[in-house]
Amino acid sequence: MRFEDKLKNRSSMAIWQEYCGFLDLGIDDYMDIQNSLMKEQLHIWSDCPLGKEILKGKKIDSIEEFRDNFPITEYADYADILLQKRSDMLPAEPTIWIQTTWEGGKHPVKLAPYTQGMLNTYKNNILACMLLGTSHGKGKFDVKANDTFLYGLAPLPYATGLFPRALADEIDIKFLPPVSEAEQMTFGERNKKGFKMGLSKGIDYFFGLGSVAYFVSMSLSKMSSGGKSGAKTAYSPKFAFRYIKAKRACEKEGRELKPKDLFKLKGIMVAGTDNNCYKDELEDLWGIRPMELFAGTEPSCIGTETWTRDGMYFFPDTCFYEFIPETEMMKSREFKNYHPKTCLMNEVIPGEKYELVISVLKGGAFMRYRVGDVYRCVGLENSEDQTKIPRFQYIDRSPEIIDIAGFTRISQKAIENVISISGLDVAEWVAMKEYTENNKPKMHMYVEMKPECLATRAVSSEILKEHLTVYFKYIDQDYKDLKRILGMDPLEVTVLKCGTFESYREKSGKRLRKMNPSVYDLREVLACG
Amino acid sequence: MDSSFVFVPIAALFCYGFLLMAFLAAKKTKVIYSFIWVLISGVLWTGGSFCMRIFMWPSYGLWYHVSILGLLLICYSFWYFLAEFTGSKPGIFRVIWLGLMLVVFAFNTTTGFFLAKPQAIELASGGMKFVYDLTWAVSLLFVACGAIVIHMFILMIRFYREDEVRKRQMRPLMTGVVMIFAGQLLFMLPFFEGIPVDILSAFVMVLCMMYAMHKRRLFKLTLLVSKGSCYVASAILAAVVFSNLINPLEKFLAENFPKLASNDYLVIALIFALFTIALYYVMKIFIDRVFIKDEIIRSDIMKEFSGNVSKSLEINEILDSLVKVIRNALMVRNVYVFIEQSNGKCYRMSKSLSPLDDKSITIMTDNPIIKYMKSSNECLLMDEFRCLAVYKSMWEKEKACFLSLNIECLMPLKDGEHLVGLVAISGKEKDAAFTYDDISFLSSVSSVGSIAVKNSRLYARAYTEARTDELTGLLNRKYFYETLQKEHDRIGNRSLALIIFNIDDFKLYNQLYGFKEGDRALQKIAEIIRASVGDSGHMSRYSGKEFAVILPGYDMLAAKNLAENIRMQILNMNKSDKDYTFKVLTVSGGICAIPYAAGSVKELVDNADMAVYQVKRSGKNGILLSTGGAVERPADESEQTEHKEDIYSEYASTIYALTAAIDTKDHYTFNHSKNVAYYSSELAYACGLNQDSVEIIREAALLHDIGKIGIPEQILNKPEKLTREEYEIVKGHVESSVGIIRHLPSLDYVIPAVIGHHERYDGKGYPRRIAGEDIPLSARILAISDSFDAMISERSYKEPYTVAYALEEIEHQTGKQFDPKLATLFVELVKTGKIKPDNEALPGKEYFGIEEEKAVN
Repeated sequence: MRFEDKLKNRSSMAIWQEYCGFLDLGIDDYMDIQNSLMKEQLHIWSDCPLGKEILKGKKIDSIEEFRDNFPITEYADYADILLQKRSDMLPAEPTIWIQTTWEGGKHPVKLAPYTQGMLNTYKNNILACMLLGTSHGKGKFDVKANDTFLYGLAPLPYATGLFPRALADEIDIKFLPPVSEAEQMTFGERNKKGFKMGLSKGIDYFFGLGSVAYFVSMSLSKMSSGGKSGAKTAYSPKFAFRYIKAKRACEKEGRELKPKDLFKLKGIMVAGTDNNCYKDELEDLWGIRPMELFAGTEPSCIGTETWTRDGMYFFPDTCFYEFIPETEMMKSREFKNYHPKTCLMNEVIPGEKYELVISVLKGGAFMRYRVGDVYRCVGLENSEDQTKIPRFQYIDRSPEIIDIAGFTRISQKAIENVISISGLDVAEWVAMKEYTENNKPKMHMYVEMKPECLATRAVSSEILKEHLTVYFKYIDQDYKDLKRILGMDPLEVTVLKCGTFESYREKSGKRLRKMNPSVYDLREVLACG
Repeated sequence: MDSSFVFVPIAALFCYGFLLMAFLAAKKTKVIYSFIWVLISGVLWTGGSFCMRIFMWPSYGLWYHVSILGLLLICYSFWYFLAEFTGSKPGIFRVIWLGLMLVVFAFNTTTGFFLAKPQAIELASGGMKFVYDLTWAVSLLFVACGAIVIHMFILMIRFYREDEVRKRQMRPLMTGVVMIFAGQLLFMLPFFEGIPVDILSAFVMVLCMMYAMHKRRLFKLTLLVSKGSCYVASAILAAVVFSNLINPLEKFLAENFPKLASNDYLVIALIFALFTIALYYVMKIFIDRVFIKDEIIRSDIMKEFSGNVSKSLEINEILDSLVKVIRNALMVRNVYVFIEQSNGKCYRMSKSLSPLDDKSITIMTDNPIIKYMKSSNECLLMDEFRCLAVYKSMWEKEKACFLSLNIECLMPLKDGEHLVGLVAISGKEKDAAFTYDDISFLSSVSSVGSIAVKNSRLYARAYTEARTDELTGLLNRKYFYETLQKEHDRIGNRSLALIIFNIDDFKLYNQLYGFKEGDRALQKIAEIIRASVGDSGHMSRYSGKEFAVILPGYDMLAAKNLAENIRMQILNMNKSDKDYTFKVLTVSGGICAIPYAAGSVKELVDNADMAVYQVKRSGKNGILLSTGGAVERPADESEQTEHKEDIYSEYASTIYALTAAIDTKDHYTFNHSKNVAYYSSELAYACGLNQDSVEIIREAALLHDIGKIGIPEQILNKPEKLTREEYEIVKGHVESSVGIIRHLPSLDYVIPAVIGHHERYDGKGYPRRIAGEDIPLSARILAISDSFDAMISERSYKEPYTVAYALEEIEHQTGKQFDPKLATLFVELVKTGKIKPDNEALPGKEYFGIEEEKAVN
């Protein structure tokens, strides 16, 4: 039965129970689901050629044995098989292959297989997100067929493109613009068309990366204010009335027109990094607080907030979750051969930071896979939404990657590459992810130039910034899009006195991590300058 | 009356009448009663209108007032029904609305204030027409009824705003209410003058009711009378109604089809027949849909099922009845019964409707369905289960399996709190949904079925236990003879072979390793025989150390090949590379077969026994065929069984070499070993052990401290207390001794004595901390001799104790360190001079008890 039929034939509590019932689980029941499905996954994965190749002939009989003996993996461990789409090697036949960029990898893209079982779970999960996105309490949601959805995400083969396709199998949601048209449009065209359609049909939901959602919302603000788009012609009588009313109210209040003046959204969902930088603004623009969910190419849609918007819960049947505590994470980043210890969902401690490790269930290829995302456990129970399972807050990517607004992920290798091809005489550098006064993400590079070039080259911060930006755009399409789509220029360069790094090394006796060193260490460096 | 509209009140009256009759015949609840009032009001309204239009006696005015009463009451009774249906309390509104309607009716009847009786005017065409005198007061009537309708909608919104299912069920009825209201409004318009739109709306209303009942399953009624009576009553009603149509129909035919005028009665009869048939089918479909299956039939099926299962203790028959009763009562496509397996790990499909169904399907005990069923005694609908979070833990292949079997409902079979089985029921024919009554019925079946399955399992267990040997799980001796006789009677002129295996030197094995190990060996041998014979024959534990295999259809050669295979497996059974290598076990086997070498069952057994005896006599570890009276050794057996006779003498040189080795390192240990060998042999003789056993104990005594070869001399001869580490090293000599001996397979039989000579009877010894009879007899003997010699010997750290003191100490440790019977016997042997202690002849003595005292705690 499709979700749409369930809406007609079942009570709202029954629907809630089916999709969001996992929120009522106790931690033991939650772990029962995790363990049961992981046993199934181990069973099929260790029997398939991929599993046999990675296990190198070892026989794994239990989850404990698997965790004790099997190292944590990265994409490179699967690349040879997955990039060639060797379905015959996988635990189950993939229904679709999802693509993403591979920062610092040996290929430009990563591919991830999705089996039918994974897709079914994915559908359930996104429907749960829809229900929770519109809810204001347990069982109180507002989802209907023919609701309209402003869609600000990349189309297939990216993971975000799966969302409308999967949703279409379950319910007739009107995407603005329709998915088949949207897939042929550029980002800007899509937003304009979507907004115009929204003016006649209304907008019920909005989903995008936090940064993109913010950018689109700002654009809508401008468009609805009658900017250059000439959107006024698209107003339906209902919206024309609303427009006039809102315009008068805004004039009275002495502020610009905002999307919330025209649209009464049922739900707004955001995904990706740096959502915290945009949530307040989005709430101000749309009148409702965005709900954050966590989805990625390898893990699919794995977590969601509830109506309380106070931390995310992981779906119990999508992946088997392990968490690397922060100290272990640092140790493993420092010593490549170190096997970090992990804890399970029933072992996390509130307040602690963890890097996520997943094993994709239901025939997924990735086992003990390091996603590269860091979360903080914010609680084991919540009286507000009456849950008894841990909830998490997304912190950021793991420190060796600088992710700007969920758009681009910059690695040490990428920066080294940029410096090299730019021909700049940079002697030493470190890069930090920092936030601007407006709480927007930026990459701050602290560089030390070679002394011999100072007399012959112009090396001001502005010149270095311009120079490096050009080359970042040259080697990284996503970085280019950051500027092109969001209008962001996230690089800041600070030139340090020659010999600063050497002086720090002598003083502290240790080498500084190039990517995201600790704030304390960075202060020490700056003090040496 | 304008005949062109006469069918409207007739049709409406018929429908209300039919529904009323159906509901009167049903089992009543408060909701049903309230709905009956709706129908009675409908009958009054449409019936009054009909009678008014045909000017029925006594006057159309009376029927007009009846019709108005019906109209006002239907408004109230509909509200009342809705209040009951939603479960809200009618409270004071019940009095208010009913009072209001009755007051309005009474006032209107007496004064005609709201809507007076219409004028009947004769038309030019000869028909009659009713003309109403409408005044503003009629709007008050609408206000009163409108208030009740609004209240109905408030109830609906309040209770069913969130409940889509109920909303869908009630929607047709609410549409009907709106239609009635709209019908009355339209009736007031001059445009509809003469047209009975009010009664038309009543007809629409009753159609909406039927739709809600038929399609949306608003009610599920239990029929109290038979369906047949219902049909007859409906047919009578149809006849009465139709009789009123004969005249108008005749008139209609005459006007529109003059050519048929000569045969008009024939045509009318034909129309009547067709109408009756159509009516019959419509009613049948409706009744089948609205009324649940006859309770009596279900009750009969249940009775039959209870009778069947109470008569049988055969699990297959019970499951067969269970499957059939569910199939017959619910008309489901298939029923699968999963029964818990003896290992308790899964539930395997044991029965289904078709013998061709794949019975290899199992449900593991950690499946969420099993977990749910264990905690609940209720039937479970898969649709509901899929909505639970626990469903998420189901494996994809399990989901696919349930989907492929089209399982829609699950029913537990419980023995108290224990889930003994599970009945998986597939979808119904025509994809009908499972109803509340189906689930109630299944609960009854579950109760009866659970008890029956429990009893049959108990019976099966008792049946098996009475026929099998507890230790090995094979048939016991009694059932062996029964089975042999049965097979003999069954095979006719085909062959029947019998193999008897007798384990060689099993008494010795028990003495060496204890009965626990002996039992374990018997189980292993039974397992080998079971795995080798499989379904080809019957296996039994014929006597304590004998196994018999009945092989129907086997000739001598086939039986011999099988027996040889089993013999070789048993020979290799104890050759695994473990720390303590057990003695190799061998079997002697005898074979006989009907008709080749025996004519009867008795002869068959006797000949096979005789063959075993011959093997024993000729050196054991072999298979012989009995060819009837004489026993012949097969030609290719030459390589077997060369040992025995003087089995131990050939190892004397090895033992001498080993003892000589320790002599060079520690002369005390050499002498000590010799003394212990002497004391042990004497004690063993006195216990009544045979020559073989005594020889084993003597050799074990000679070698029991061979492991000390690896202990540094400064520890062995240290005059002071031993440190903890040193004491641990000394304790290690037991394992070291075994470590040396195990490399000499020919001497493996001494291992049990050596490994156990520091075990204590109370279980506080080392290295295995075994106690009592679990310590091999040889080891218990060695323990006494060893301690006695140690006490009366002189060592670097102590003077020798007197014999009297040593015997006193042994008596003191009776039941603690030493076997009480053996200790008493030993003391007696020494005191009577049968054992002569010779402490003076020995240069050095050891007493492990003292070493233990020396150890630092």
